[in-house]
Amino acid sequence: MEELIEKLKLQIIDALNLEGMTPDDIDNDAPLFGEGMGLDSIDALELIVVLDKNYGIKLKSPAEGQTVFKSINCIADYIQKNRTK
Amino acid sequence: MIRIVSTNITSPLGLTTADNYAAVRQGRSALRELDGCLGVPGHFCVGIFPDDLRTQIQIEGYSWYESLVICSVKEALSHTDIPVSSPRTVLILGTATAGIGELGETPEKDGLYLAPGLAAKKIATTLGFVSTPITVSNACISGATAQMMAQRLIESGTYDAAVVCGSDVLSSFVLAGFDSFKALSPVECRPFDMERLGLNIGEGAATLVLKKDDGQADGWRIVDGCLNNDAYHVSAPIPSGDGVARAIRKVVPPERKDLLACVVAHGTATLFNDQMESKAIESAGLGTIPTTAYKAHFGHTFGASGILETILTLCSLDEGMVLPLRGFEELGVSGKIRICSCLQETDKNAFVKTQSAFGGCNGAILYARDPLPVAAPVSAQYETVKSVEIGPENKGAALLTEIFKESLADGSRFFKMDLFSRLAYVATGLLVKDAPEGYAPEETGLLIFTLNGSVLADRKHLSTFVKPGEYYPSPAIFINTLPNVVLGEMAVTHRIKGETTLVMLPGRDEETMESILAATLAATRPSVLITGWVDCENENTFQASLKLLKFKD
Repeated sequence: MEELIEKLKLQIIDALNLEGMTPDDIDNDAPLFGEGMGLDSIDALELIVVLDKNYGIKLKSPAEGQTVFKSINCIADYIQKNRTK
Repeated sequence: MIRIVSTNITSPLGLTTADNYAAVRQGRSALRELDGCLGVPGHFCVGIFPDDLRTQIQIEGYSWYESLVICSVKEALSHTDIPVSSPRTVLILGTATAGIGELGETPEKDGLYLAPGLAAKKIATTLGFVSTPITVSNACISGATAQMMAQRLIESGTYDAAVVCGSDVLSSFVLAGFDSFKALSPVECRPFDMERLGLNIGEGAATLVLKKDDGQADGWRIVDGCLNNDAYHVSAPIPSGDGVARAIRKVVPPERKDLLACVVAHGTATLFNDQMESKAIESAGLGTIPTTAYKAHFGHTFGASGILETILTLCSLDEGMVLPLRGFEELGVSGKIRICSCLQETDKNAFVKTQSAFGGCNGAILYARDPLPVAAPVSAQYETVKSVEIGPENKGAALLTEIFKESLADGSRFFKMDLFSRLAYVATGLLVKDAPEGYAPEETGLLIFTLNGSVLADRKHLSTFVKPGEYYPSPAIFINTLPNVVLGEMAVTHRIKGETTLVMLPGRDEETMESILAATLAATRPSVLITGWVDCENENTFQASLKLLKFKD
């Protein structure tokens, strides 16, 4: 799980162009949207691409992603249960 | 005011205004469902030209976009005696993506791709125009922007006549981009309906031939228009509909409300657009006027849509009718508006057309069959307060990051922007940083000129989905392929709520830029305007020359 989380954080930093951030800067339990890291609606759509490209998970809409994208831990958990690659 | 002397619609439903209007009147639609479209995997519902019409329109040696524009403009001109070859006649094109379908991942892989300004030059020359063509690219409000550009240039006396053509074509580029935004409906779109699932992409061209108002009693006129920015988000409209409502209020003050036969909404059938528009129409006081929209007949034709939907309404009001909104059954928005759900008679001779786009920009234009009293534009005096020049200085693109970190660091989306956006963004930031006394961002406008626009982002977007089996289009990259999105970035960061317009020229032509600037200032009278040239060819060849102008009493 630790390895997956580290890899996922790097993929997110790269995909969302989080300039100057390292995996250590992202709290595993902190909310990614709103108050937390302040990601926006385009970032949510980009996270859908991250899951599809790296883990073969297809989410249909940002609404579907709402619970999945709560925090890094939530995403990692979802990946473990649903990954196809 | 300027008069509309001729029109054309070229769409999958026909090659003339008459054919298109007849088709819409019969309730027909260009939309069809396809499994896989133009090499893009998935199930789509699109408004695409059938092969026989496409063959009729396509000209050898010209891109599909160029061919469509030429076909539409030629047919519109055939009904008038406007002297195309006069230096007092101008061609103005409105497009979101122009000939993007011809672009390759690298210049070596390009088909017939030309930068939009150069494509316009090729089209203009082919049609016999001698003046420099102007292309406006404000995403989905390009049609409204092109009409405003024409009105201003005619009223300022720069030209006597303008041929305005809005056009966009269906391409894997646009389809994959909107697919990544999860904005597409797999079935026919249903604007304002409870069951709406998103938009359909369409293609087409629509042309208006415009000339100075000769005061003749009968005939359609562009009375007044207003463009502005939400300053909210580059890809999401402000939920209150504030921008659209401000634009409507400007062109339909209370005393004009009773003149309106209908509101012709943008009505893309996305959850957010239609909801926002309903709030805007209600808060602008037009909730009791019948509202209609036409996207379920053609799909969203982007640059063409604003003009195409205007022309259909001219035809319907000439018949004394407001056409029903195809695909609508049950209101699915919270704004209190009156959707026209069945054919309705009217004796009124005016309507307002609204539009909204990525980049946060909005537009509303009022049309009327009889002359209405309007204030003539007065020339306005402006002074240059500050200017900024940014070139690569042997540092290339890294220079922009350096400037951003040292002088701006405003927590914006800078690191998510493409090079063109970063360049314009940094240059504007430096101008706004030491804003002059009396600087009011809500009354500030942006008018930026370019040649290459977003071409670097365009090529990058292609690389995310063209390889077989590797279809991962990225919304963050796609958003930057709309060259006006940078204006939205500036507007959001600096709270700029005036008009934001991107003009694409065949080159850095100071004379044309100056005449557009003067006409824009006279018509919009912003308290501050940030304007100039921004162009980006590659990582080491770019230039921004912007200035900040302030209104002088």
